[in-house]
Amino acid sequence: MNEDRPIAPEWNRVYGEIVYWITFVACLICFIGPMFSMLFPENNAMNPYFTYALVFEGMTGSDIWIALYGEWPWFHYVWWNNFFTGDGFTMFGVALGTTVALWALIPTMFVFARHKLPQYVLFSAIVCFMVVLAASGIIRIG
Amino acid sequence: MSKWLKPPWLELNIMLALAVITYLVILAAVMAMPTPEGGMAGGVIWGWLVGFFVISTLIALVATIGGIGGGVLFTPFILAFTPIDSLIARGTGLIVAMFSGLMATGPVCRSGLANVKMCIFLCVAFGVACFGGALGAVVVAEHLGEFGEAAVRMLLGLVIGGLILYFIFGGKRIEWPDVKVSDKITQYLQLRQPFYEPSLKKVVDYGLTRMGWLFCGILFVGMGSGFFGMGAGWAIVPFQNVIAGTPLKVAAANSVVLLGMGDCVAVWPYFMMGALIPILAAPWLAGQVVGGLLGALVLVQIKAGFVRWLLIGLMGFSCWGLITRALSMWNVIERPPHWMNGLVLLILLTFVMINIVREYRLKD
Repeated sequence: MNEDRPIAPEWNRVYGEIVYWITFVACLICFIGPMFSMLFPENNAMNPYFTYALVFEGMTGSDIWIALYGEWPWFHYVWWNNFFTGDGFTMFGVALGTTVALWALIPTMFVFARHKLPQYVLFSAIVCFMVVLAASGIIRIG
Repeated sequence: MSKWLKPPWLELNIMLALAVITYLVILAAVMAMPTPEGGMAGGVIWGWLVGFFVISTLIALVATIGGIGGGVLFTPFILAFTPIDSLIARGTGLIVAMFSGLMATGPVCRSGLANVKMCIFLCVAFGVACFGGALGAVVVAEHLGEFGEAAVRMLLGLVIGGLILYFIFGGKRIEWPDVKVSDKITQYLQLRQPFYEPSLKKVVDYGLTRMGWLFCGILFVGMGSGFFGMGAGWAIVPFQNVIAGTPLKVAAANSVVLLGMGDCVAVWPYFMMGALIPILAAPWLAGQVVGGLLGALVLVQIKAGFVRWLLIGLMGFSCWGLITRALSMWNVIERPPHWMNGLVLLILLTFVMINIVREYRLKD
């Protein structure tokens, strides 16, 4: 142990900052989205009054979507086609937040490459690949 | 300029201000508008939105300091006290498990407390194992039925019980392990990363070892996480500490980064099955972000002993839940009622508080 205060490595700062700010934006969306949902209940993929009623009746997610939206298509179609509605915009915020590791690891890979750490470029690429597989729905469970 | 107007307090204040404004606007809207026939009353929805946000913030605060995902606290709460479908609860539970970690990632990476290289390396194991575990759950359910599931729960409960004893009797040695020599894999990974520790007012240049074994350990933890559909921070922290000699505060910081990263993979199969209900998930996500940031700011400053006792309490509750669930699945005992679970949690929290107060009274 010594007394000099070290600066965090560049990959720490790049990864941390990107994750932090995208998560912050996702959070703001999750405040604003429900507000518009409740202000304009008809301008939603699913009317929030009925959504909450069905959620608390114990219905499954896909059944709720089918009952109120008419179908349960591919996840990303839903927020894309309903981007300017309260819950569609909220869904976009959640999707943005839950893919944040991908958006942060891509630039972090370049930092690792610049610092000649090829093993971490590879590890980062593997994690990115897994996020892409999962978020595109290629990997499914059940 | 006041510190409250500078990052990260500025972001925290923006989020809190937005929370107050949006929930007041929603309250005004639901009071002004009639409830459609067959829908839930607007006032009740408002109550749920605000209640979820507040509970989520509190869960995130505790979870971040302990380096665990809040899913361990969230999922049993939702399944115990609401009629919400278990798939929606598990999908939202993963949001709860990951977002406090994602928001905490910024402060703990910036301060150098978290080791991003180590997290990325371990995330390779965690991500693959999560999927393996989830697939394993299907296989076990098909072939071994309830007996097999109970056996895995009992095994996990006993492992955690052993780790609790190690944490109680390990003392300071656990908080700041002294690793003299690193093995070859650890040296190849170049993981050394000194950081300034405010509670000690010193720079800590910690050593690590046995990263290959830790990789295998995280595979095991990830399998368990995917198998049970719950967070894994309660196991990631002790595994890093016990196997690789990671200081406890670093392990807690790594754990929140790793959970945020790994759950970006684990959460999507649930979403693809329609388990994301945006208006339900939003207040939980927002609460996790606010509580996660607050928790990270506390984590950087607090003593390692506080983290150790908090973890002992949280792991103790997990251990109780796993063992009683296994025994009730084998029909050895009745499933404990909610009041008894609450009483156990209360006793453990009292035990934790007593030890934290005792720790703070001791002069270093």
